[in-house]
Amino acid sequence: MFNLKQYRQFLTKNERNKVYLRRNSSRGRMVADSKYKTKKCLMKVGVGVPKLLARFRDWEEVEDYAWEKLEGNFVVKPVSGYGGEGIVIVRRKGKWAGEWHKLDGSLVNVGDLRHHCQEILMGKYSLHGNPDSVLLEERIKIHPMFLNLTKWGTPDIRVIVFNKVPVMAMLRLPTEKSGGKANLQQGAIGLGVDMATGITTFGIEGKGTAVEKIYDFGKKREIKVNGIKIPEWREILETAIKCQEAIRGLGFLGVDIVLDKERGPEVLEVNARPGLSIQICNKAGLRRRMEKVEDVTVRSTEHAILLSKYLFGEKFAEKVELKEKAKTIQPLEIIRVKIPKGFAPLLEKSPVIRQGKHRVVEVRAKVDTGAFRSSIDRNLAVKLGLLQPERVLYFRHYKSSLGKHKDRPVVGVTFWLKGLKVITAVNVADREKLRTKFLLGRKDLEGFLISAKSLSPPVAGYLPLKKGRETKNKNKPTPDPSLDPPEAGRQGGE
Amino acid sequence: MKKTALIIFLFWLGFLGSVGPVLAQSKVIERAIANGVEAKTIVMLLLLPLLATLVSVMHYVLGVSGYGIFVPTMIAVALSATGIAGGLILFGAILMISILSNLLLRKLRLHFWPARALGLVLISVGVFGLMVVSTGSKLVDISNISIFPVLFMILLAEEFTRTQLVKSKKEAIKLTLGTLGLAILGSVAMGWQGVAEVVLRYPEAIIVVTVVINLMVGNYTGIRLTEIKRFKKAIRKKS
Repeated sequence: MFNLKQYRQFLTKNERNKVYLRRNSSRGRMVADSKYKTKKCLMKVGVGVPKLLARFRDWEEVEDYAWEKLEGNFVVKPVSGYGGEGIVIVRRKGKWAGEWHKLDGSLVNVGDLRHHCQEILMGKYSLHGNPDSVLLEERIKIHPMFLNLTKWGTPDIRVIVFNKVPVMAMLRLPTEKSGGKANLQQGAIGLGVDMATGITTFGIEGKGTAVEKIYDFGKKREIKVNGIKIPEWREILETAIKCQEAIRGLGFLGVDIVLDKERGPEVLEVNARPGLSIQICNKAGLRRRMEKVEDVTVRSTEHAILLSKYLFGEKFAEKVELKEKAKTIQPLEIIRVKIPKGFAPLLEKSPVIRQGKHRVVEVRAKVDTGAFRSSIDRNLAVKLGLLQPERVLYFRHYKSSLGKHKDRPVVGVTFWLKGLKVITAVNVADREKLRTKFLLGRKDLEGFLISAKSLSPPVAGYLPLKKGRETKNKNKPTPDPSLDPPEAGRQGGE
Repeated sequence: MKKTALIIFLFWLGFLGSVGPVLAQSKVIERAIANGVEAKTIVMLLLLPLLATLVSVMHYVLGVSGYGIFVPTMIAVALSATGIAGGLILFGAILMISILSNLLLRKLRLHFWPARALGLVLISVGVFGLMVVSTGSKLVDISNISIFPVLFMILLAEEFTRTQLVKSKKEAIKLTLGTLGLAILGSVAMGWQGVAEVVLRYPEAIIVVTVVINLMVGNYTGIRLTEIKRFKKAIRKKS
């Protein structure tokens, strides 16, 4: 029926409590349990944390604080709260002084906030009802990438670090049910994250309901839970590792990281008793992963990230990496330009290739990061049917590097560079005397890396070279540098 | 790990081997009863650790849990005093009153402890009312229960509202049902006639069993029964 052996990879509650939590000393736990101490500890080593506005230890400090001066965008939270309880997020100022709008739009005034602080001080949100203190923090500006995934709160990334190696991670999305809290116990959605690439894999809601799709508020439709790439993944892992180094005595911990729009990864909280549901949304066992890194002496952050990448990366990680490698281009590249539908290209030398349902032609292009927009030779544009009057978007005044002033037509062009489709607007220039009839401007090079190492001209493609020169090139494998300067000098563009 | 457990275990066996027979042979229990200690109290006293053991086994091996270990144990004792039906009615009433009073008191925005004290006023009045009403009805009679079951029930209701506030309603309901289930199981076991007899006749056996089971459970790092269900979704199908 079921095979108990396959459950051996998982870290169970019993084992976590008995074996792994022993690695956390009481001192380390004390730091982790207090958000204030965590913040102080992390600030010392330069890990990003939300900015502290004030800290209240007793009622008088709450009374004395100039609440009215707050402009909005702040958070009131208990120092020793857990599970995201007792946190009030204020978004902006209300109509009157001393009145603000909360995240859900409801109003809150000074009296409410003071009363809330009082409740925190009395220990309403702390473990065992112990007296607590209050933190007043600046609110994080949520990274735009996450804005579309939830509208009820701040999504965060939980990274489990063991023996200085990040072993597992998940992206936590607050839901309506969880009351804006990024806590799985309360019904938030957790998405497993591949350690190598930062791409999401599987999802669960609450403690164990599998989720296949989530709603994207930007696209206004459901999207799959897998394949969401978390930005600044490397920095997030680095931050998590630094947390373990900063707080001594924590051998096994969960770090909750949020991505700020401007300041990058910031640590919200460090958890000395991380939950186990992370294994379900990753569909992987923590125990097996931790056993792999248990005896390793980690030399540096770099070493830890590499370990994590190669030990815990998903199968697709290599493919993603290869794809990213393919994005490296050389100064001279062959691009495939789409021929508009229903146009018979007037080409003599280059063959028309079918690519899917499109007809394309290969064109040799030169990368020029000094130019903003790409430009295409007028002759070539005519031949490919790109300069038909109805395709011209507008005319633009351009100044070439030789000081010629001209109005150039700008046309819509679709081309493929290294297999990636680029839909863009290209200006039409007179490049008749130049060897490359297409110039790739930086506008269309976003996401590509340019490698200046080898300058071997691509073999195939649209090469309208003079015969004499072609033979010359055949004799010399590398093009004569003396031929290049005049051409480089004449490079058009902005 | 296993070696230390074994050593502790052997040590305990030796200890009990010397103490147990003394306990039995000197007929301490018989003498205590003769001196006026109630037999029922002795049974309860000796069953208390066994009850706690039951709760701990259920928690660590099966994964069924309530609010800690003492709340279920205490509720089990309370239930065996009031009877299961009566105890459940009492608890239901107390829970309802405390939920309602919380809703009411939240609007007054009082300090934390005064609010609790006011809640207790409502509960006290409610329980008194229930006692008065139950004398008239023939189904369950809780008119002559002692204060302790009531206190334990209030404790449970308080845990419920707290968990609901701090964690979630679902979690609170789950834990409360777990507590009640464990307590009912415990009170049924305690009410069983044979148990009392065994406890009085072989008190040392009860202690040995408790110690052995707890040492075993205490070193158990394996999977809990409920976790098998939980992690089932996390197993990847081989493709």
